[in-house]
Amino acid sequence: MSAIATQLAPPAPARVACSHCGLPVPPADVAAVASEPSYCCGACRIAADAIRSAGFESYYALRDRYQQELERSRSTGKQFAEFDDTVFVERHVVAVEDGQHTCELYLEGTHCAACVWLVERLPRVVPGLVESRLDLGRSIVRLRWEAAAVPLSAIARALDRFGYAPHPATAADARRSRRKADRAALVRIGVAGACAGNVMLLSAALYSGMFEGMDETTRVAFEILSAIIGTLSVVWPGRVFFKGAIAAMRVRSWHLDMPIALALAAGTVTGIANIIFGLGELYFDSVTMLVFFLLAGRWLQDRGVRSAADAVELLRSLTPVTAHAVRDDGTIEDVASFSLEPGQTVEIHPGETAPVDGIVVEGRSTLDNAILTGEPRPIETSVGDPVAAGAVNLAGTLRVRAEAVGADTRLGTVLQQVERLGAERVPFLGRADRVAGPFVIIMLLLAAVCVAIWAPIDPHEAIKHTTALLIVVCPCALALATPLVTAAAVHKAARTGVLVKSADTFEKLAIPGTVFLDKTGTLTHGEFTIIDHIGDPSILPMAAAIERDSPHPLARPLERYDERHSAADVLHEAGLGVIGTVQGVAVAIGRRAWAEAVGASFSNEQIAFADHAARLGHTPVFIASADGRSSVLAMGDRVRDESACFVETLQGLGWDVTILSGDRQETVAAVAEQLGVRPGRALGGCTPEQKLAAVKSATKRGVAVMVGDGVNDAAALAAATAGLAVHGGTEASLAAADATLIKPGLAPLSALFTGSRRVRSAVVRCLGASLCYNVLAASAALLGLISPLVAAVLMPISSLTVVLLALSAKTITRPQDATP
Amino acid sequence: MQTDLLPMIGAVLVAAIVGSLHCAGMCGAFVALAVGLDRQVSRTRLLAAYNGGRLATYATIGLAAGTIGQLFDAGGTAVGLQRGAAWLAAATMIVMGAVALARATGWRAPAIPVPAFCQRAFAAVARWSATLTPTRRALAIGLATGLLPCGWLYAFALLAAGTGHALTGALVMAAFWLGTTPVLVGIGAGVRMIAGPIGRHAPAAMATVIIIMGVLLAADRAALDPARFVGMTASAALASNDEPLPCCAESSKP
Repeated sequence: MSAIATQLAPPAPARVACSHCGLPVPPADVAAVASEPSYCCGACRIAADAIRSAGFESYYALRDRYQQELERSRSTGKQFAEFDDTVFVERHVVAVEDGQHTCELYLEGTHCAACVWLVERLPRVVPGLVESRLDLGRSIVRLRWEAAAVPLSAIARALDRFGYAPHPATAADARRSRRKADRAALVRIGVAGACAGNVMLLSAALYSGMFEGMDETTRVAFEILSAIIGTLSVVWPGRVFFKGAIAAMRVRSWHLDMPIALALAAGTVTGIANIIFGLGELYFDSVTMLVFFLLAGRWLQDRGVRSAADAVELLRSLTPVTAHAVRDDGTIEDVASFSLEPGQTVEIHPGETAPVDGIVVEGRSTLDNAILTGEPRPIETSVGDPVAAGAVNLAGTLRVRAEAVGADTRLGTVLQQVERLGAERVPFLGRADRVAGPFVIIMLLLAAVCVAIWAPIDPHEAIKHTTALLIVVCPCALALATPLVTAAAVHKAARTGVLVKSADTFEKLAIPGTVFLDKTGTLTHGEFTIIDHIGDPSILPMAAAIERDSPHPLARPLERYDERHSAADVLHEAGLGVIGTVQGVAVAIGRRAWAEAVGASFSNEQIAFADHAARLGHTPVFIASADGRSSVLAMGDRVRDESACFVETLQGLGWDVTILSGDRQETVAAVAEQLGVRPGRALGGCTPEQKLAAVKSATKRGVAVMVGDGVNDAAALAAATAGLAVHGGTEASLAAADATLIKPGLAPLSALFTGSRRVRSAVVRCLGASLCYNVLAASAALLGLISPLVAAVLMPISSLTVVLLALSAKTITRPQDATP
Repeated sequence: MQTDLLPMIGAVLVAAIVGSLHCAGMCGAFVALAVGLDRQVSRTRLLAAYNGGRLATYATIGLAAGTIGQLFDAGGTAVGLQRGAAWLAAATMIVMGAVALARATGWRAPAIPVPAFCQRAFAAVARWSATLTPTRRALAIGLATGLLPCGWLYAFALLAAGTGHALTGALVMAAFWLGTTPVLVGIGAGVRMIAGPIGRHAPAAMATVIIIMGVLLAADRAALDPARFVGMTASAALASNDEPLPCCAESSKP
């Protein structure tokens, strides 16, 4: 009954978004039944229909697949039960009216309007979810749902299925205040734009009136109106420039806001004075346009800087949200990780991530410490051994007594370092600011010169030519050249497979310096594969059967030998190996002694092979069966096919290539030799601190670029002039880097390096073009060769030329698809 | 270049930019269909084809509307009605804007239904476009976009008619095209971020813009001297302020 009532009742004042375009639907047009689509206008209805009949569904599928290909389907398959945990709810979920709840989640892998489209249509897939709004700039989704109808975990799973893994949005307060600031900036831009548009219209009318005669009252009215709007623009949105200038004056330093503030003040005062004394020339059109363009440019740059800072939030989500705390009475309770305290004991199940730094008090297992050390080799751990937060438990269940939690853990310290380094970095001050301030001053000076030249000849001519000068000289083209070229390059880079976070990355990569390459996961695949083997291959399918369900990374490469035999009596012995029975025969895999215990022996040749593999930095794995068969595998991290080409490209561009790795020196040296890197430039056994120190000292000498993945590289990535994170690396390094690879392989990075140089020359070309235009136009105007009308036509044409020049520049080109 | 066109074209441009948030939602899917499907053909080329198609249709609509306006004016002048097209177009725009505004703010008046043949035709075009090569498909979608019964688009077509001059009408629609192009090119570059806070008020804002444009048209056209209606240089306008130009005299002859 009540359900029917709610269906039939006119929809609540809550907005209904158009099923096609997303704008609010006029209340009269909202479909009576909620499941029916509502359209805001007839055109949308037709468009939606056309899309359906064009077989557009297949398009959506295509796009999703494309998306997934880009991100290699990041679906984590997690259950997100912790999202329903009372502690989580207390911390992140806000109850709003009518039993509805809201929550903000950080989504991985959102980067275009298609993502927005997909995420915002989530309510159609998840019944009970009322609204899902994605803030693309911050990758934050705001969810509103009926708490009684659907748990948050179900929504999170749906998001995860779409390929956007959700994380709790921590530091929500900081973000909220930032959003407020952002809104204020948008409002300022809007007001500045509206002012500029109106003043331009009034000015155009005034200029045309100058020729055709305009009645005096109208002219004065128009002038006063534009003065009011112009002053409003300077006093309200333009206030930020004065604030900056005054603040800088207080501390007696120079600030880019100073010339801007001066120019704005001069323009406004002169304009007002000219109205009062009837001297004619108004500067309000230029002044308002300038405020608008400067604010808009600044906002765009801020977004770039902020996206880097936001990414740090992602780092925090590397440690698990919940932990299994062991109570004094021995019972186990799932609690939120941040509520843990030192001294408490936690249980870590196989496949889980350690939430704390601590000491193992019970159990035996193998830990994957790659997140901290970058070492792909698992480490045997038993009672008394240390465990670091972020380490992944691969084998048995461990009980760990916490020694440090949260920000005090090693991982936490690294993250804080990343954050600090990120903040230390000098924010990218855009060319718009650099150019516009002096530009306006020069413009006003030129205007004064123009008046001075022409006034003695003919006051009327002086006004006319000064007007032409003020119109024709266009700061927009100069201010927009750099942002446009870089924006286009960012876009092109994304299509080749590199997401560039800050636009100044291109600038940094244009001049060669030192480039540090991480080995594991960057130059190599970052995972164990069988590099070589010797002995009886018939034993491998049996080994594969035994290792089938093992989470051990050494087990995964064996998968390809799996012939679906069944294994029985499988026994893992941490630190030694594994034994099991396949087709009635006992087979042991692991260390030599462990394997031999089954009743087989290894030949001298096999042992020599194992020794040689160990010298190369590979791991020998012994396999033996009770019926006397034996084999030795050399397992290791294979060097990527394109690594040699990448190194060659870098060296060709003049970069000094150095390999930095936490791996053993022999392994690193072997890789360096293979890639043509000088032996002195292959540094193995580096701790994160040593990597950071190497990068830092290189930045003092010049440009230092770090290419790497893993949290152990995070500090180095942030400290480098430019940090490039590689796909397949840990989320954390993606956060600290300036650019991140979203496709496997290094080919897109080669394109980024070669393209950055072209970006620089394209910027120079655009700046040159607009500078030439401005110089020529200003000279012509000074000489009285162009009328204000011609100037008004020339100005947009010049801007358009620069825009086209910027967008058409061939900067980042796609690498040949024929990469091996 | 007619000097009095500048404010009008400028106003159309600003209005089109303001309203183009609607276009992002409305035509975003079409842009994706035109540009996003094929990775073999360069995106720039597809965008150019799509937007070129749009420009062609818009300009044609503007030309047609302007011609109708011009004919209407010519006919009107014969029966002693001055600049009827402007008045009629302005009145229609104001009514249209007012109704849209009222509906956006809650007035429950029924919408004018879209004719079924229109819906069928569009579906047919969409199906057909899927069979074309990427560049042609982008062009076809661009061409067809202008034919969507979009109130926002046709408010500007009315404005074009109201200018009472074929070429000016085309110019108005070209300016409209120019104003809407940045958003349609930049879809995916954070347009949604701006759309978020503003989008809620977009329908009301757009309705208001239509009303303003209507008032502007009425005020502008009413105040103008007929001599400025035809293409002539600024100096010629000054010189021949009082006597109508030959073509004007001609058009009022029959």
